[in-house]
Amino acid sequence: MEYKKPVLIVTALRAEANPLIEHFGLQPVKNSHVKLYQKDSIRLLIFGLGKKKADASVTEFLNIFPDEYLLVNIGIAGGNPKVTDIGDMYAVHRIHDESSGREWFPDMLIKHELKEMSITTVESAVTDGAGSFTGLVDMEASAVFESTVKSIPSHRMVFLKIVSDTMDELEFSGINVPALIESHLSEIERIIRLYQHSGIWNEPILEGHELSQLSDGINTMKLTATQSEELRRLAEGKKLRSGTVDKLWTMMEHPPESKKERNDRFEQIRQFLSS
Amino acid sequence: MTDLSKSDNFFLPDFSHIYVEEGAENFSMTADILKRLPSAEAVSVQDYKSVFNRSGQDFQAQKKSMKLIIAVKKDGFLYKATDVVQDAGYRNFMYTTPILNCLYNCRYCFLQGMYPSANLVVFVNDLDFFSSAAIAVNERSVKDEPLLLSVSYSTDLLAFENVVPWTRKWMDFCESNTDIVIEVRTKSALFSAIKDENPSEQVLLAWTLSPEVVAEMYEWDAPPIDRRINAVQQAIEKGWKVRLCLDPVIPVPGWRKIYSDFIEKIKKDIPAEGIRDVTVGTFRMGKDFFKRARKRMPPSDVYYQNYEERNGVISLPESESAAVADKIKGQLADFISDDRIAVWD
Repeated sequence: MEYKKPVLIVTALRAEANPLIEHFGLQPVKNSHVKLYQKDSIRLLIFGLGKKKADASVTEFLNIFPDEYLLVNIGIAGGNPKVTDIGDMYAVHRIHDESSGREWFPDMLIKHELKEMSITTVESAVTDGAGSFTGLVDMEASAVFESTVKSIPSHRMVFLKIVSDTMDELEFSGINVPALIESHLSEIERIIRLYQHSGIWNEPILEGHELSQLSDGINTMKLTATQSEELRRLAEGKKLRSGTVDKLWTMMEHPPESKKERNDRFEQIRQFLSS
Repeated sequence: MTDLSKSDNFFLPDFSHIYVEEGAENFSMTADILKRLPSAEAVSVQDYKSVFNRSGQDFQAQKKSMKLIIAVKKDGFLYKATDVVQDAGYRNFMYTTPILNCLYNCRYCFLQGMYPSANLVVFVNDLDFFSSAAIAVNERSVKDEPLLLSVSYSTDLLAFENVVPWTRKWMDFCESNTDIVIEVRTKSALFSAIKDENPSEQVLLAWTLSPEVVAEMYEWDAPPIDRRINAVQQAIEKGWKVRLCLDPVIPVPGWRKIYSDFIEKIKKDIPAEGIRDVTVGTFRMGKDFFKRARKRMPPSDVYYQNYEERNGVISLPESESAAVADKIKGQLADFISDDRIAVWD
């Protein structure tokens, strides 16, 4: 059975996205305000060139479709020829924003087996040589990180960059972007599957059906917000200690006829869950 | 529940990456660390806080593959001890943080709620720490008593000795500063890392010991209890007088018998004449740390007990704490004199 942890691939260019759309069999999502493609647990968002578009598009997407994503930013980048080779793919371990001077760090927890490199995000394309840029250069990584880190923890972010040029190209139209991405599709899929299986998602103490039953019980019992919060915490503790909270549900089946009855029964529940 | 451990091979080994703050590369300790971890990927960073304090970190996820951050501490080298730390009778009591965070991930540890990151920060400007300690010694309020400095407050310093010899550095500092006593509290079995150091009244080697069943539940990635006891035995054989810390005592179901059996084991395995003193305490944690730690969802029932809040500290109800302390003290009575047992209350 396929592992269903949600994945959000973001790319700046359609040329970067097309091979991925085809490889994963993604379909356009109609009636969305953003350029979005999807199949099963994988979504792909094209946000356009530059930091502003990245920030606006990714932020809007996460507001509309929040989920516990693995974020994968895939794209081409300039590479310092002393340390990179054209066509090679790198995992980014440090993102430096040239204009603000700020730096960001995706957590490197998983054995991805790719070469790693720092990246500098710039405002406009670098065409006069690598100069002071010691690693990779792109135009969106810092904005992608900054706009997603409020929603996605940094250990579920992966930045994969394929070197397209050595920062001395005056004309980028000669670069075959789809071919660069295509040459790494199997590797990209391997990385995504690896993360999906890795166990980096926090598993809640109470499972979905238990949370649902808890919510029903809270409504039936007309518990206050404070009681509800305490109930959830106590139920988590009980689950950790004894492995189950099944007996709780029968204690919450019937609505109380008064506040006093509610509070008395809540006290009984509390004692049960604390035992 | 899924809780993949480090042994699952999805995860990079601890310290696969070392983040080096600009300026820290000039210190000899940095070169030593990089030499000891040659296969680590070194990443240069402008300011260690941009790695350590950044938002969006997941403490428990990072614990599966901890990274090392090498930095220069700018200020705040020593702090006055807080109420949750045992002073064991010392009136001049401070702590210092040459390393932030710990190799281990004990379920009851306040570090889970203290820092935003599980990665370890090692400060390499040792001379600045020693200057501050020397000033604190001179300025201590009770002049006829030494300054007690906890050097292992926010970490397990000895556990990290093979990577960063901070314990040995503090021991050397004590040789030239007679009015200081340092406490090195540990769960490590690494006494071998300092075995050639001469025993000193100024160095309190303190081992936290817990019954096997408690250690397996709450100290799951620290050395097993027999290895800790073995380290204690080695230290005593070398002439050290050690501190034993039964702290925290966790009142698990059946705790009276569990701790009773455990204390009998201690009496059998550790010679009383090698023990300087014993500290006893129950679980306690600052309220804010407690809330943050629980929010990070460690898979442990330790955050789901019936605690009380007193003066901003979450702990067992006073009566339960007292019962634990009485039980432990009572059982130690024929082993060590009452005045050498310190109880946190």
